Amino acid sequence: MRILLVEDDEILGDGLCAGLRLDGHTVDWLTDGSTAEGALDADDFDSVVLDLALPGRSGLQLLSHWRRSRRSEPVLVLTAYGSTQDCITALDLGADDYVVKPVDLKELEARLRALQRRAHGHTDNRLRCGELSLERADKMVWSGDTVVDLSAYEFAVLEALLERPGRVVSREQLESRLYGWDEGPESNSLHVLIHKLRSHVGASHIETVRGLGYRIVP
Amino acid sequence: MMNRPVFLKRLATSLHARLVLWLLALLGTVWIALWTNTWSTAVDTAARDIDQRLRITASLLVTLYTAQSPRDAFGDLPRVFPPVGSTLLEMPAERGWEGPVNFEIVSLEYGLLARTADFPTAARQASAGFMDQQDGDRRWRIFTLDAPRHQLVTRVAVQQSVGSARAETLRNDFAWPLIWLLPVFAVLALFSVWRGLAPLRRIEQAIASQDPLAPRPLGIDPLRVPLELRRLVETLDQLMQRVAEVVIRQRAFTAGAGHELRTPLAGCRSQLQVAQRSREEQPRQRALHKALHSLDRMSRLVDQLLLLARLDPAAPALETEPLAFGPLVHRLVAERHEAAISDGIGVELAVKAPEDTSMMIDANPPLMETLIGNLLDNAIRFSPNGATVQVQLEHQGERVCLRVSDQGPGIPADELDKLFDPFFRSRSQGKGSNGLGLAIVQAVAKAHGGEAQALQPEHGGAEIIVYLPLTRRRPAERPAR
Repeated sequence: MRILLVEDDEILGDGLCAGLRLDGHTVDWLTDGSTAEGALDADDFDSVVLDLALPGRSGLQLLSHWRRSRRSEPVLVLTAYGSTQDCITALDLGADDYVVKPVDLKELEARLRALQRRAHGHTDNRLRCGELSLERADKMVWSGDTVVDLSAYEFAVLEALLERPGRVVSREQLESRLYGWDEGPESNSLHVLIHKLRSHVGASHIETVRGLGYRIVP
Repeated sequence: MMNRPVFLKRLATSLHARLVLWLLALLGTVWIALWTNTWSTAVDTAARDIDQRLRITASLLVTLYTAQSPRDAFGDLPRVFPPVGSTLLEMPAERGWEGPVNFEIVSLEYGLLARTADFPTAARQASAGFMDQQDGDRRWRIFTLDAPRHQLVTRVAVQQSVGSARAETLRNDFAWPLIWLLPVFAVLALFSVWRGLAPLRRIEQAIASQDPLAPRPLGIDPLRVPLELRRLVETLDQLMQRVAEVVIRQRAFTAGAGHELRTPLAGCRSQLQVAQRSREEQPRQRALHKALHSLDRMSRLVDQLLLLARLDPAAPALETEPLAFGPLVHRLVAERHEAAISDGIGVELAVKAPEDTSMMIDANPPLMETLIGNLLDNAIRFSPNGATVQVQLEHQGERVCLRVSDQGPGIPADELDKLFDPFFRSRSQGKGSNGLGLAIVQAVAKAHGGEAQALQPEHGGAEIIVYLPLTRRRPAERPAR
């Protein structure tokens, strides 16, 4: 999934970025509160990891700004302040989860998966459509009983499509999810990815909707 | 003496017990004195009453007999009467007065004129005045009145038992109420001690209810406290206030230290996990390098925290020695200038000291070096490329004044007084700061009897001034290091 990380500490930010990317996520990292303020308007993110003590604007200010402007992305607050009152304040301002530093990378990933699940109304990590099923935690895909071997990018595209089976996911949404800000996609790379994915899971499952994007059908 | 029982120890130390004991002892003494006095007064009064009665009776009798011719006095009446009380006094007699008065009247010319039957025989020879006489098993009080002009001798006698009965009556009237007063007074004494010491108990409760982790003023209105305790309550309140401030400061410091350590800890952990996961050599080395870097940061932070703890006002005094402040500033400015030149930042020193450029102070050399170093590093960190950090050293009478000003973004006015608080980070503060540098500057300055201040100069940037007292000894007495 595509994650926005707002953390001013260089080493921690770098470590979280690297760790989450190794797990197959697309991470965009901001170190300053004021630049992060408009980030959600400019791009689509699946979830946000937010530090509270930030230069420019504080994490709580960002949070309340986002919620006031009706941004509903799940926000996980990652902070050094461990008091119950801080936790209550953050949750009441609209945070979806609250984690005190230092955090285990695996735990952070699991919490982000849980947020993602809830955001789409799922109860577990398994996404299904017809005979296709995808397990988020283990990064496994099955077609019927057969395991399908996918690359990280292919997995990410399939995950995005399976989150809303039958509904159209636009090219831009898929690209932003795959590449973030860092690596600009080449014009036809998504096209190539979809082609490869079709060859793995069966061409009939992924439909192209002209001018809009792609959707997955049973 | 070593093993005095507990209750004796409590008696010796309890204010209540002491006051009650003293009061009871005092009351007891007063009571015994009153009792003895009343007792003897009752006996004396009874004796005087009896004597007065005898005297009145005797003079009445004399008056009666001299008003007529002694010869006609009784005519044929018998000379000896039955006892007076039984025949004449039908009215009830007051207690102590029941005993009849006996008398005899003797004319020197005609012999016995009259006598009551019970008149004691032994008293018949009594001479003028009062006397006590034993007659058989009875004791008598006798008064003899000589009336030589009428040739009459009148003797009046009552039994002594009448006197003691009278004395007892008086004693019952006056002394016995004292018996009742003793316990009443004792109870009142207990009550008044209890009431009188109520403010003490209130203060004791207020102190006992203090939470040692969050002390607060006692909350007792000093105007409702007795004069003698007012100072105590006020002093305690001030003490509690000070303790509360120390506790709050310590707690804030501990919490700040925890928060400050958590971020590098989290960074270190995330980098180590990345290293663990990376299959390729290059990213793994990079992550390990970053983890090491954050470990360095943590150990620097721990050093600074320990330094601040050492500089706490409650910690023991520093070891100091005479230190030439001027040359030290000179050396450090030169070092920083050398180091910052690659970033295009210059550090310049101006000294205003007409007579004495060494500027001796009593200081702990490493700490003083830290103070100057932190000031310079701070200013360099805020300086944009190509800017100059101005350092000014000035001799001001009894003190030395070190000014460090930069051309950075300056300090917002509302942050000026918080700038020296531990862990405080200015909104404009750049990266790489943990909010301890200036706190250490202030702590070192204060530990040396000086002070640090922050200013917002008109020409922009920020200016930090440190004042330090100059040593009073002449540099010649002890050579500079």
